[in-house]
Amino acid sequence: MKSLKYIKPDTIEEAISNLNQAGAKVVAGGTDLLGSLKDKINPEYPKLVVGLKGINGLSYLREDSAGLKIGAMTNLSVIQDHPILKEKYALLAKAAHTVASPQIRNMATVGGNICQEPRCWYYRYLDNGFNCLRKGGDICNAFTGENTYHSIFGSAKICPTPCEKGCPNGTEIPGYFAMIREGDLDGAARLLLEVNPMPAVTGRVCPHFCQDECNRNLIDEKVSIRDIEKYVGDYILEDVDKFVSAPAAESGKNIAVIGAGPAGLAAAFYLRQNGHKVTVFDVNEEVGGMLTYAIPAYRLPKDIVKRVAGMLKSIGVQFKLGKEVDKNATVADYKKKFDIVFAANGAWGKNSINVHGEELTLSGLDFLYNISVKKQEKPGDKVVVIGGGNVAVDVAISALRLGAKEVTMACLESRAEMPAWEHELAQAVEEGVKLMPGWGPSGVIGANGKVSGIEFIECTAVFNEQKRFAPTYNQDNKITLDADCVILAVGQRTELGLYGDSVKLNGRVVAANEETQATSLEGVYAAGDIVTGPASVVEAIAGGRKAAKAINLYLGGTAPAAKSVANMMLKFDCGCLEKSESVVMPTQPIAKRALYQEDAVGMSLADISKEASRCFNCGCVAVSPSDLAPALIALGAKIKTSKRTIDAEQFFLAGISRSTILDTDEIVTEIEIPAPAAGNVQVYEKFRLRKSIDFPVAGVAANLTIKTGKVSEARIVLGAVMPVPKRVREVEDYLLGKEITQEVAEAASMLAIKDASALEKNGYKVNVIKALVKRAILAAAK
Amino acid sequence: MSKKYAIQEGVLAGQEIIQLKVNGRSYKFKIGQDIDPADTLSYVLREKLGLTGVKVSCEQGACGACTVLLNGESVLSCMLLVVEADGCDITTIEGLPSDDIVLECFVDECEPGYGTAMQCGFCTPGFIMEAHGLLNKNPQPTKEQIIDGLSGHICRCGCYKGIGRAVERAAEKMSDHECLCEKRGRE
Repeated sequence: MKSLKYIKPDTIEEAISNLNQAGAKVVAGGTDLLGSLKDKINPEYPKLVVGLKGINGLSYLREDSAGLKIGAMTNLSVIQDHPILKEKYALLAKAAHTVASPQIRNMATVGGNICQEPRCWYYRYLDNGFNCLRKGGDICNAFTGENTYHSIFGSAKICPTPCEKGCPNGTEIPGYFAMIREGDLDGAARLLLEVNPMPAVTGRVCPHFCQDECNRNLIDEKVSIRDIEKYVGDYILEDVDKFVSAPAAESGKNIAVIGAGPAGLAAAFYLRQNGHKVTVFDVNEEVGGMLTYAIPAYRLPKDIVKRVAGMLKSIGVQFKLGKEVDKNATVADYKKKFDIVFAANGAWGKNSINVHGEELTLSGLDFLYNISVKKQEKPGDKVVVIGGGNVAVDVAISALRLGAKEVTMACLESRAEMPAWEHELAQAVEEGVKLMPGWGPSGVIGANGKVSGIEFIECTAVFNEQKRFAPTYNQDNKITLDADCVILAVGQRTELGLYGDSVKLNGRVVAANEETQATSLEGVYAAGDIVTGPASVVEAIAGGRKAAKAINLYLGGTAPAAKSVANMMLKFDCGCLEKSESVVMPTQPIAKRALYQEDAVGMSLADISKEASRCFNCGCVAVSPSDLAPALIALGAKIKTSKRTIDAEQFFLAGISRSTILDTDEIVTEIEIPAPAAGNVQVYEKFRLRKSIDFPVAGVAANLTIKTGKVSEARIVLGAVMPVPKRVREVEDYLLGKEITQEVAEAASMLAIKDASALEKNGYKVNVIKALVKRAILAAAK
Repeated sequence: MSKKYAIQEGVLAGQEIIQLKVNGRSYKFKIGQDIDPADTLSYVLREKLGLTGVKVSCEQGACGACTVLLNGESVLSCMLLVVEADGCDITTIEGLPSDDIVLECFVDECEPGYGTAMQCGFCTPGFIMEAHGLLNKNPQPTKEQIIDGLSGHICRCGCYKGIGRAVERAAEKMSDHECLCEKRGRE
């Protein structure tokens, strides 16, 4: 075994102060820890091992009229053999007796037993062979692999799933998919609205970084998160009043939001929900910013943006648009009239390419703007678009749909380096756009305001060694293309006039705190492209939402309760383990595609429900292996620690490298079990492969009180079938008031497995636990 | 006043020496010099004291071969850090007298229908120490209690029946022995 530092303090306080150090591990009996140290199962070897054997007075059994108190360091052999326990707390004595082997019970302690780590072999593999979810990895290997002894009641959310981590806005994707699977579309809508006021928009235009991270990519194809989001987004817009309402009370605070793009709208929505008076200013006539004026209607129908704006208006957000807005006002001017200013005026400036004839070209943004206001005519027959990004793709496709015969997209980058998203480039090519990667424009040819052609030189590299933009060219390789229109889509830049000289800048963007979006000027916040430079809609929404949260706190509001992912049990559709293909959003045939009609046709609820059922929900399926855990919960025990007293039921948790709610510097000191009532019967049933040594494949702890032949109290807890012990309240409720018969026990055991969802290789466990529940109930009646 | 525990490299803070009483003899080990805090009890018994009757097979607490008595109770010496056994009284197979009743019963076991209690003998020290631990706690175990008590051991030769019978015999002989003593006392 690798060398380690060991310390044996003689008081709890000293133990705690040593456990405070990073990388310290506690050892009680040692039979669990030594195995994990020998095999080096964890990515990090403990820096210090703190032994509890030197602390006197932690090993005892005391009984009084209130019940039983057990010191945490009491050996299991003592618990199993003690006459009082055998008589009055038989459940615990029996459960202790079933643990491992006599020698291990002589060494192992009750405190250690309930704190042991799961026995999943992926988790415990030599030398951290699998960096699974429990260790902070991205996937539960057992879920699709060897899962003979794993959970039959879903998985435990250990950490944010890969898709959630991939989403800049942290959308709880598996959470709302689970609701869709259960038919709770309203719940799914509400969960989405918590982080995104416009899923109908993002469901159409978001690049869905989440999908790239989806674990399904490892076995077949990602879950099409985008299409599900679009459906739920549209569902929200169909009946906005059902999901959003004006705030119950006004805060009296007055906030200016500058810019009605995605960042501004998101901030306005969440600020208004918190009762603040919100006025959104935008120099354009319509709400939406780039959503309205840059993204073509065939991707995002303008009606969608209007309905989102309508939703905001319906809860009291006010808009000042177009001529109502003083274009020369700075944030400092706004700040004089408002308590808070949130600036999100985007990146609308145009980049230049500095070549002769540039004045003959059109700007891509102007071109798209004109299309959006329906004032753009066919640009020409032979159109050359300069640029390799998403705007260039939109310009190229729009040019085709306006009637251009030939559209070529030329850019400096090589094909692999092109910044546009792959699926958009694929669509452009599908519709007939020619790609010309690796060429830089060197001059535009033409006269009298008319373009006749464009010259290119070969670009040999776009970026230098520091990955900075510094194109190099091969001057000997030139070509000239005939063209009657050249459109520049070479990126946007921020325009910073709004900020005057009162706000600190970070190069060409506004400097804002990453957590709060606060700028250097008190009370002024900023987010979106003005802070990030040109980026995605979802990043803008995330920025707006973060700013709204920070502003609300700044104004004395309360922060939304932080959601804890730990201890969330996740359900998945058993069928999701079969190989399947991702749904494909039906689109208009190419011949029927048009400028002002959405390409996507839409999907049915059945389609998206099916797609949602492909989601793995990506939790951990290792089970809680402790025999004592279900017994203590069934006995209504309380677990005393060096910090607090916890109900046994609340004690167990499946988290990264942990199986209890204990802090790293907290140790179990005592277990208290209330005295059993008259008529109390306790049964522990365990199924394992060998009668000795083995951990439970399944276990049942039943604690019933039977008065005049009928069950008056019942606590039934299942062990080793879920990541934490599972109390089956439905079974308990069912048994109340009933006389135990074969039929009653059978019905109760059916209820116990009602929610079971077995994995590929552990379906037998469902039958095992059912049989054990029935057996335990019948045994109690004897 | 509680002691200040400064943590030093490889050293048990506040304490540099551990003591073990093994088979009646006291030993002192300097941590960091004689032993490492990561050493298991089985390692020290075998490699430092030469007590190779302590067998190490699975090294993960499943086979029982490394079983020794610690303060009279059976424990797995491969799953115990030697520093955690500080101050304890340890008995290995080498510590038993040559006329140890359990040992003799294992050697003599050859009853028809039960077979021998040992073939290759690798698991025998563990079983014998376990039997002592069991009989210390429960001098007159039932057959069921013997099976349960020995359940933490594996015999690859499959001599389980003979082993069980040997322990049964040992229990009988030991109680005869005690009765005899009592009688003698009365005389």
